[in-house]
Amino acid sequence: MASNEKEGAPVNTRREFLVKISAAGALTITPGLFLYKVAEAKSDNELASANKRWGMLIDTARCADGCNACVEGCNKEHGLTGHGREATDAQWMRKVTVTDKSIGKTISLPIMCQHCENPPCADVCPTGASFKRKDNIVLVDKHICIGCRYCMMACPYKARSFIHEELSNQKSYSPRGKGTVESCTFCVHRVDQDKQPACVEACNESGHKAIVFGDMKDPNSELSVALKTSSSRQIRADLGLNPGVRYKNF
Amino acid sequence: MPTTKTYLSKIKTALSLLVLNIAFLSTNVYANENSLIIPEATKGKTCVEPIPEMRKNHMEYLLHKRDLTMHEGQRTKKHSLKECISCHVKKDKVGEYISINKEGQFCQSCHSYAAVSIDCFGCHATKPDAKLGILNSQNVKNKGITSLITRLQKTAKSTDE
Repeated sequence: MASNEKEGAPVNTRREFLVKISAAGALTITPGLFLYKVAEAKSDNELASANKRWGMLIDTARCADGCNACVEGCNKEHGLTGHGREATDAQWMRKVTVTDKSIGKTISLPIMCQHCENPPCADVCPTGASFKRKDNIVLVDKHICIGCRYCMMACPYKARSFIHEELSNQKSYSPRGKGTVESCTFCVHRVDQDKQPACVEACNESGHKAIVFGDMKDPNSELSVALKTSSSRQIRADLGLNPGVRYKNF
Repeated sequence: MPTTKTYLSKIKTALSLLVLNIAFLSTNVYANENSLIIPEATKGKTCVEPIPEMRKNHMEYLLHKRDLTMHEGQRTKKHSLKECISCHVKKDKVGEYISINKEGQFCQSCHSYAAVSIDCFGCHATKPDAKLGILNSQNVKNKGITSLITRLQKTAKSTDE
């Protein structure tokens, strides 16, 4: 750039000089901007952006029957402990086994909050506690949740749990308490630090690598590429909720 | 018929009782003021806002920050409950954190004095995460593995003590 300036016509006026200088400045800034875009780190004071949509692709062919690594990873991350009462214990993620009886084929897959674009839980919430963040993560604001459980009835994926008993020793990044409804947060505390959700990490560690997490709106993200190059489906696509969790080979 | 003298003596005893009562009440209040001991913060003497302002309005700051974090995803430390705790939490003799809502600890000491119940800790953690907190912290992320190792060594030392 500097050599270009020397080779160009001699600077005649103050105005020309300023124009050239600013052009050179713009060019030198560009590589910096490019670097920033590649890193894509969300700083602490940056807010969730509508330019992102977090999503997941779960490959049921890789998801092993009998493996519970993702569920265990989730439980450990958020400190979900039960009282040995399956019907009422908190459950953010569960493994489901589906069998096609005519062929005798069995498929195992995890189900959790599907982070819908049109979440029915948020539709029915009378206080606004169930809401969708700008980057399409569906959350419960437990500060204003009154525990009415309408959202639990509205969710077609049975993804939500109600906390019946007092809790202690919660994780500092995952506040949970009696009298409120909760569900998968896509590990929003990790996502805000550019990390993968706990279930994805656990699945990778188990060696199955069945879950791809990423930004659906970024055409170059691993998730977008995977969605584009393979056929995937939504559970209950007929409801028109446009979930952020998609399934492959299902 | 009682005489003026007996009236006077009755008034005298009443007055002395009243004076005694006032004296007793005032010493009572004084004793209470003395019993309010708020543990000092562990990370220096200045808070995020002037101390009188924090005493009066800390809940407003927390409320504002809570909505920003929950709904907008802002993760700065200033005015966050987590940071209040990490600065005001105390350790016991073994080096383990003491819950901030235990009797005599920072939040509880003042709240029980003012007879105001705290609603935060039904859900929120009452002490920093012991190990995960170190791994998750922004500082470690920015400064890399060497900082992580030194911090781990530090915590190992403090737990040894």
